[in-house]
Amino acid sequence: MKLLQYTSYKFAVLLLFFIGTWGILFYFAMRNEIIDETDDMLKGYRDIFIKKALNDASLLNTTYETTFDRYSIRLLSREEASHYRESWHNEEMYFLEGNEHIPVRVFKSMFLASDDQYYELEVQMSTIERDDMAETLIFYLTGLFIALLICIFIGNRIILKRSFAPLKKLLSWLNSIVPGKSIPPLNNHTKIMEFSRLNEAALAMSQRNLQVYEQQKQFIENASHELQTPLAIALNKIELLSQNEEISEKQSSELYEIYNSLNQIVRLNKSLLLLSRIENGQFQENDEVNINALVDDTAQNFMEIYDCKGIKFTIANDEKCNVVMNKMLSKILISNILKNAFIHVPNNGYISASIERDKLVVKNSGEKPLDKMKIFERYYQTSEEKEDSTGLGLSITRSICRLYKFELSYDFYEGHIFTIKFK
Amino acid sequence: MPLHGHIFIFFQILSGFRYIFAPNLFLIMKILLIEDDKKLRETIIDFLLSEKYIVEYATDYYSALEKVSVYEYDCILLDIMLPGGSGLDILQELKQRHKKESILIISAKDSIEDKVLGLDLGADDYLAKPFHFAELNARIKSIIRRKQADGDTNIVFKNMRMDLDKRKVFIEDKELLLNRKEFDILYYFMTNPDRLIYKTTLAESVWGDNIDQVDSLDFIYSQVKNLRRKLRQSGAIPAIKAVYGFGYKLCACDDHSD
Repeated sequence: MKLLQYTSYKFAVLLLFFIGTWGILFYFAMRNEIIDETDDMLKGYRDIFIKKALNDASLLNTTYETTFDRYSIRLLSREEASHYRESWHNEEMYFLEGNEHIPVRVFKSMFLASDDQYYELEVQMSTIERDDMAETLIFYLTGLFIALLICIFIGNRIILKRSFAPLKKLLSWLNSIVPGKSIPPLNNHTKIMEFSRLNEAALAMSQRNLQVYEQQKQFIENASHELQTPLAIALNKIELLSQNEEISEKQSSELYEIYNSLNQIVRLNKSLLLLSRIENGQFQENDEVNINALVDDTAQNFMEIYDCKGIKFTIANDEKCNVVMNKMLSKILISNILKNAFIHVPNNGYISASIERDKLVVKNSGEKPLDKMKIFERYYQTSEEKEDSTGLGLSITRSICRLYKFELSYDFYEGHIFTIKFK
Repeated sequence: MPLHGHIFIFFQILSGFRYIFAPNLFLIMKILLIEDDKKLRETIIDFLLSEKYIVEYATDYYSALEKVSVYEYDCILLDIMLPGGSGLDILQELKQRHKKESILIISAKDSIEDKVLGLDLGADDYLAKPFHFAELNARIKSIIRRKQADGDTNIVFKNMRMDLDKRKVFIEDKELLLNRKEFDILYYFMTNPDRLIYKTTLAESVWGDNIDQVDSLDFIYSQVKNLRRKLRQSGAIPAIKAVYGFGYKLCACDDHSD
């Protein structure tokens, strides 16, 4: 939901409540005022009538009736007169000409006439129709509500658009930041304090991020470097020891295990170093590389190594594919993507590579699809993974692709399909 | 043990019976190791002495520069990052003085630029740390051979001769036909005779970085099996012996069964 929609919606709810309450109160206030006014007038009528009747007794036998006002007189017994109370009430009266019922206000009062008799005087007066009044009120209030809503919406839109321009700029600036790359300048001057503070915070955070990123990269590279000498010593000592003919077969085999574990660390270390080098952009020199030949050569090597797995390998050199990139990285890229296929293909499975003008597709048979989101992450391994794989192969592949803006994707259709689109 | 002690023992060994296993090292090779890390230096020296080289060492830039300007060596193992300066500067100095030493760079900085720069400056080879001694040995022998044999690229071991240029193997002047990988494997053994070579090391040396997994070493087994069969059938004295199921050794035993 956009901020504009959100605030407009909140304003609408608030207005509805406010105008609704106001309408109800207004309705009751108006009604009371009208009744009050009518009652005053009825009282006035009564006073005038009594004054006249005291002078002119003939009036006591008459009934007066016009369209809207009328009065009638009734003689009261002494008994009745002793507990008489004045009363007000509303009534509906059939109004012949208009063929409708109209509301009337009735006032009953008592007076002592000149003939020493008590009379009841009933005065009626037509009054306003409540339904009509309510309807009119609702109609005009709805109009007011809609008009206010439109005003708020338009005003809101203009104000928000103006005041949120710096935010919009900040957002697009944040999106343009690439981890590890230097931070672009942020020219986003604003008078709004909150946004200028947000600017400062975003800038400071990106600089901190960059710094941490650099430090981490440096750390990985340094750590890998520093590890190499002690690793070399350990490996070489084992090599020396292994030549000793006095040690037993058992000891010798233990040495072999240690040696292999160390080798594994060395490989892991080299891979990490390679990764950080790629990400640091340390492979600058570019050549034109023929992918067809490279895939051919590399696959041949793997066929020898994985000969015992009984893999059926096919290659479709549909088109010639030349890519400008670093020679060493091209080897690593092709080797990693093919190696991945050779390692993970089940025994007696198939691998196919097809090369088009700007595309390499490597497919190997397999049962279950892998997690597309995680497959290129460092150390992502499925549960049945070989325990001595470094888990960095595909991550290196991705880093190389990223460096050259190649598109690397994974798909599953009757097998695992890796596609590199060279651009 | 002090260095002269090692050298003393070396001469004793030299005169001993083991010498017959390394006829292609008839000349005594003098190697200068320039490496600042004490433990690594000592380990490498141990290895080089066991391989019957004469070894001297330098621990920093200035002592290295002094040594190379005063003495002559057959081969210099050069670390790049040294206290006091860069190994590449030493390399440059050597080339300016037209010194004939073979130079093998051993560096922890496994970067392609350093490798290219080092080779451009005239180094003969480049080996990244950590390395296998068998590999180091092969490289040292290879660069010394290139320099000193004046075009003779044959390695001889007992009744077997390998012609590295033509990539051919002869047993008593009769050619033994090997495929590409079999040749590489045999070459690796020939440069490291009588040493236990682990399967993993062999796989890595011959197949390079494509080997990533220890569990897929069956291919080594079948390749070596074929090679052993060919050697046996051709009547070669050198034989590849399996050691405990995880390594091999090239030796001159007449007993081909195991």
